[in-house]
Amino acid sequence: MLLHPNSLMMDAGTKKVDLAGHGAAAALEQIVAQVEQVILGKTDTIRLALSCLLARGHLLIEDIPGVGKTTLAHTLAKVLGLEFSRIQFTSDLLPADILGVSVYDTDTQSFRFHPGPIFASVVLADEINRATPKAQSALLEAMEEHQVTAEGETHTLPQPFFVIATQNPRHQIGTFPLPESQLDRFLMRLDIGFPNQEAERKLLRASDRRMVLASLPPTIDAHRFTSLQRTVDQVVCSDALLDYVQALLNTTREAGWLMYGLSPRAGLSLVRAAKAWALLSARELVLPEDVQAVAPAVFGHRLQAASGEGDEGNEMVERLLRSVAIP
Amino acid sequence: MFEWRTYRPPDRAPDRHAANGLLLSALAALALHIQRLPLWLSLGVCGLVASRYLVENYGWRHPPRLIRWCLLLAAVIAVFNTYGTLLGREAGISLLALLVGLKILEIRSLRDYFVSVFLLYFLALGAFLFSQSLLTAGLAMAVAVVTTATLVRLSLPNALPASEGLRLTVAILWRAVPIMLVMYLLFPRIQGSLWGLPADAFDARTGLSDTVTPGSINELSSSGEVAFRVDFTGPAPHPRQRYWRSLVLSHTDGTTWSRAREAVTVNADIWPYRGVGEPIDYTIDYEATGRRWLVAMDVPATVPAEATARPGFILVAKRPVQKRFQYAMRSYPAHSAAPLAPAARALHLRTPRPMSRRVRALVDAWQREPDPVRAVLRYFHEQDFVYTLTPPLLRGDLLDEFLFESRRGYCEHYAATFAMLMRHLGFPSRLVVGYQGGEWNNAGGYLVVRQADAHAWVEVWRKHRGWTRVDPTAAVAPERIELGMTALQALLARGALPGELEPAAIRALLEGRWLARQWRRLGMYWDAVNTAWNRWVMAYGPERQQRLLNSLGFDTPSWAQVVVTLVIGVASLLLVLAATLLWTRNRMDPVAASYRRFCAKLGKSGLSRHAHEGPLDFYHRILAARPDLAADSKPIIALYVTLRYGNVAGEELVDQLRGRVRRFKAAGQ
Repeated sequence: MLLHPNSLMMDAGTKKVDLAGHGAAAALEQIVAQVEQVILGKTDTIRLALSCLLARGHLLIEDIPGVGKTTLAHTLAKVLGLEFSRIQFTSDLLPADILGVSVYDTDTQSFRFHPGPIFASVVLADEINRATPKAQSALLEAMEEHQVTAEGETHTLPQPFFVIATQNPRHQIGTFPLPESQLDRFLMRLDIGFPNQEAERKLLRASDRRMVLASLPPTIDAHRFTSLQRTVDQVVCSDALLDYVQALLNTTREAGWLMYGLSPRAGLSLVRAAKAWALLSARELVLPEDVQAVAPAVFGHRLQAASGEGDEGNEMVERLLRSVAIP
Repeated sequence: MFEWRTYRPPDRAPDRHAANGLLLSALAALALHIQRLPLWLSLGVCGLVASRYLVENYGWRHPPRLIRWCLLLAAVIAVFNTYGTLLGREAGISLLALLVGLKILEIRSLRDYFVSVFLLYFLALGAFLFSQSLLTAGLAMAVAVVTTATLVRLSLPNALPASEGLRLTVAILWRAVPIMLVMYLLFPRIQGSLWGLPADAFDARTGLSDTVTPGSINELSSSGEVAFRVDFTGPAPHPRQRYWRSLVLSHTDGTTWSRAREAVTVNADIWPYRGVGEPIDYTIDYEATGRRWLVAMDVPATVPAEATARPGFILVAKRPVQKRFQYAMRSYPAHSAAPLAPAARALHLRTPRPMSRRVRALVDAWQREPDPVRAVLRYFHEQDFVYTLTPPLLRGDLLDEFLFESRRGYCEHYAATFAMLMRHLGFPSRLVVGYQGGEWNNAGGYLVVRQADAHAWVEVWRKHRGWTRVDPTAAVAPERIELGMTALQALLARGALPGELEPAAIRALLEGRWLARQWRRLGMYWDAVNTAWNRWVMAYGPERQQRLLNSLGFDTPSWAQVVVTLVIGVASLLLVLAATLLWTRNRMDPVAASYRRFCAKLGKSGLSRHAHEGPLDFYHRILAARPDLAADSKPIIALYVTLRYGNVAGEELVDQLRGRVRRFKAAGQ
């Protein structure tokens, strides 16, 4: 039933630059299929997470324990052929536990830097809101700058570099919620949600997902992934589409029901994510639908209701999308 | 360009900046009235605004209800105490200003803010009850801009930057201009005023009085107020010809000259007369005086519609001149003689008191001259008579005292003395009061005559020539006539003695400093701009509206017709405005326009696109709801997507899209 836009182009008689000629669309479809073997019935979540990484953004997954946050992060790293490391955030975690320490080496009579777990391509920061703000900022600074400075020495992080952070909903006891400025560093926030009946039955019946994960071969490697990221940059984003994005941004700035309007960075994130989403849909141009598909994940954690009520970011984004006409 | 924005009323209180904007607007609106309001009131309103500022910015407490009620009561009592009433123009505006201040003080909800803003508009509008000058209009407009900016700020709480807000304000006001013009042209104008201005609407004004006692015009000589302006159709006449007559005084009790109470038809000067010399055509732009007499250049030959002619070539308006108005005139430099009726002759020879011995001797000597009139003028010129604006006060026998004792005076003294001497010499004579001279405004190409140019001269009846103008002042101070009153005053202020100066010296004295000259020039430009405003904007009254309506096809427009025209005019303007906005939107992108047409066609068949629905989502919905249309819709959607979102340009493709949309049929189910 899905209308394949490429066939549309053929009908229109247009000559198109076929990005999929690089095999991008096929490769991406394969990646999604592989991840789906582990994470059942969550196609959209997987595609969003993949879009986030393709758009070179960090990902925040927020949900209750046990829905597969960690597994999703781990699977993505595995399938993309990226080096994976995991940091469990606790209230006594210190910045050095993340970044690494310098240890005195008696052989060379000097300090030697022992890189911390952050030196990996995909870093899973598990339960990030359980650590103190100090530890959180150490991670977030590394996220922003793609490098670590320890004892006067700067160490560059590997390329590509992603942080996939998970956090429990902040109402839970013993957490330090991330402030807005740090939430803004994450390109997307996703929640996974419960699986549907069918998927859950499959989950219960089958063997441990971790076994599946362990046996999963990488679909591509880091080099190929970087070239996919570059392909995303070539996706066409027309003025008409930017009009729509600006209309969305302006509405958040003028609407009385929002605490404050969205920043230009939020708009930029939206465009990048929409481009990645378009490529995932095997399209080389961005449509308003792509924007609408990624908007809840990109805007959800950046909006706050004027009434100061709790967190229903996705609902606010839905309201926003409904109230803005596509120009 | 302006864009459509869906207006959503803000659902929270405006911030500090919006509130401060409101306070600023309030001060601006108050400033419009400050020269008319008593000091205590201005200070009071400022105080109220200042307290609000403290509440808004420094977290002061809202004043409790009791205090607000007391303030209100005090305000009402104070206004009543000052004016003796709460009604009327002055008292009304004062009360309004105080109430605005009190309203601002008690603001709590968003609604209160809006109420205050609209009160401010009303207060600014009140300025027009007092003055409709260009300056007032400009200031009121400035207040309107500030107030509208506040309104914009209040309506968009997630505020735009100040410059952006101002831009939006100006854009909104700019779009109101056509509506303003239609209202200006078509809003029913009736004679007088619509609601009846309160009795205090017409201030006492300076102007000529209808009696002359030596010393009375003097009050005017210090007044720079404009009496009237004159636009000549041809070249302006020489200063010596610029005599503007207003009143003729034939009766005297020896001290005071007044209009003849006897209804003597002075049949020598009835209209129409036969003009002598080249006619002079001009239009007089007459300032309000509150009195009925008008001015005309010597000798008027026509009577404007608004006036009637009176003996002595005098024009009298049909009702007191409460508003500036214009009338076209024609005058001749002289007129043909007509006989003087015996009764009129007797009236103009009447002398209330006998001459003193000294005067009689003088008069007897003049009687023996071939031309006694010339002899008297020569006497004024050769004896040491002095023109001064500060003459000594005369008592008793004015004639004797002036001729032999004081010998100091200005036009009234000379004219009154001269007329009396003429009567003693047996020449019928009368006093004419009006204006002489005027200042030429280069910027506007018109003559400005001020109250200071008020003048009195004499008309003497000569056989075969009829009433002849004789100006004794010219014999004493020719500068008064040649250069005008303003120049003469400048000369007197510098200590020069009129009648004894070389032309070069006078010019040097008058030139003045560079700064003074520039200042004068600036003043001329300002006057020219104001005159244009009065002539083109303010003069649009009932008559001109009538003419406009006639040209629009209403022969005798009734009120109802005018109102209907007004409504139709405003409505069509709004339509045009909306259409232009929509059109510019369509014009911007033919692709978007075609797609909109496609959506409209589908919409008619019951399948309308939601505003937030993208093309692919819509296609899927078409596919589900109307599979029969899918084949036709698909290429349209594909072309639209490619053209609009694919950065693909090409007239061919656009034409293809347009054609497909045109051929597309979505018959209802």
